[in-house]
Amino acid sequence: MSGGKLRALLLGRRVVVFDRPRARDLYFNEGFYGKFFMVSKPKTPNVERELELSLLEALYLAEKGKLEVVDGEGRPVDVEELRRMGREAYENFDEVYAVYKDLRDRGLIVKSGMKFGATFVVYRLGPGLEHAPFLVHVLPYDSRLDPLEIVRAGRLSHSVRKRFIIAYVDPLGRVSYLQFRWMM
Amino acid sequence: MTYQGTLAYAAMIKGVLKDSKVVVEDGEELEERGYGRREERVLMLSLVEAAYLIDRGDLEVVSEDGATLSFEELVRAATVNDPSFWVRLLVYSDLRHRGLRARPLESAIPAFLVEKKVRESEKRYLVLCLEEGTRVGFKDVEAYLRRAMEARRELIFAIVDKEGNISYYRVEKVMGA
Repeated sequence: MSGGKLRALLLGRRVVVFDRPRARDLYFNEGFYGKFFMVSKPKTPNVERELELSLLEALYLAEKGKLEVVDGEGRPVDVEELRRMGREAYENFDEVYAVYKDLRDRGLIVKSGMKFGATFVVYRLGPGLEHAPFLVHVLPYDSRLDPLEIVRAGRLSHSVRKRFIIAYVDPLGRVSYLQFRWMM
Repeated sequence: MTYQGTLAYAAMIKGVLKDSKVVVEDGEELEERGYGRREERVLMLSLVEAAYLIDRGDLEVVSEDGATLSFEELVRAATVNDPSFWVRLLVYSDLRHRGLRARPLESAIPAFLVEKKVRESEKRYLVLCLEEGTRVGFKDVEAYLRRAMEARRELIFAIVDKEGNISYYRVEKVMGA
């Protein structure tokens, strides 16, 4: 990367990188962060578009000192403000972020799993580069599992051919991952 | 495997109902097949085991005054002290029907210790029944996982739906956490 810290603009509650070469670098070389405007599944690293970051990604990168978020007036938006916004915009944000951070810190690629019906889809290599990503669904620690959810998790993982893992954060802040596999 | 009694032509094994247990005097064969718990010279069957064996035609249970109890009578009597008796019996019978050795645990939540022979070795499970509509907290799941691990068993949830259908799901902690 060149030209100092990467900068992103806060638009409402969305965070966008307008510097296209740096956006491309962040996506293709730094761990597949964000999503290019109007490009759903980039195949080759020649995309020339703005890159939208989720609040989770923006917070993670800001905490790592890799990203500076500024608002429309050019004022910096610090990590605490990003976190506060996340809590307002996203139920259960702290737990979801703790899981996101835990997975990213392990060197895994963590993307939205919405299309598969889970919080995250997790890759070792990256989207488009492997066929066996797994799904991680974050539930609040005090949510109490309905057996129906266990069956759904097992069935879903079977139908999308991806391991389905339920993640939660206990009161001590430890992240745990449970897997349910249909047996008979 | 059929539900037909395997001992249909032999003399019926007899057990006596005593304080929520069925006491069998000559229980060697049942013991060998993984039923009951030996207590000195007698074999003690749980009511779940007894109901299953009555249903198979392998056991006759009599009350202390000598009257024979039907399957229905035993189930009815057992349910008085244990409202989840039918669910226990459902899952136990299903496990046995699948050719697995199962031993009922005396616990608040219906649970079984199950072994499955795989060639020379043996798979060991702790099977817990969860009924559709009752939820389980992560704290409880962790406690069950710990319990299974301490007994060197894999944790299985037997999920029983509203009609009594059973699905089995293996539960494990992954990602080294």
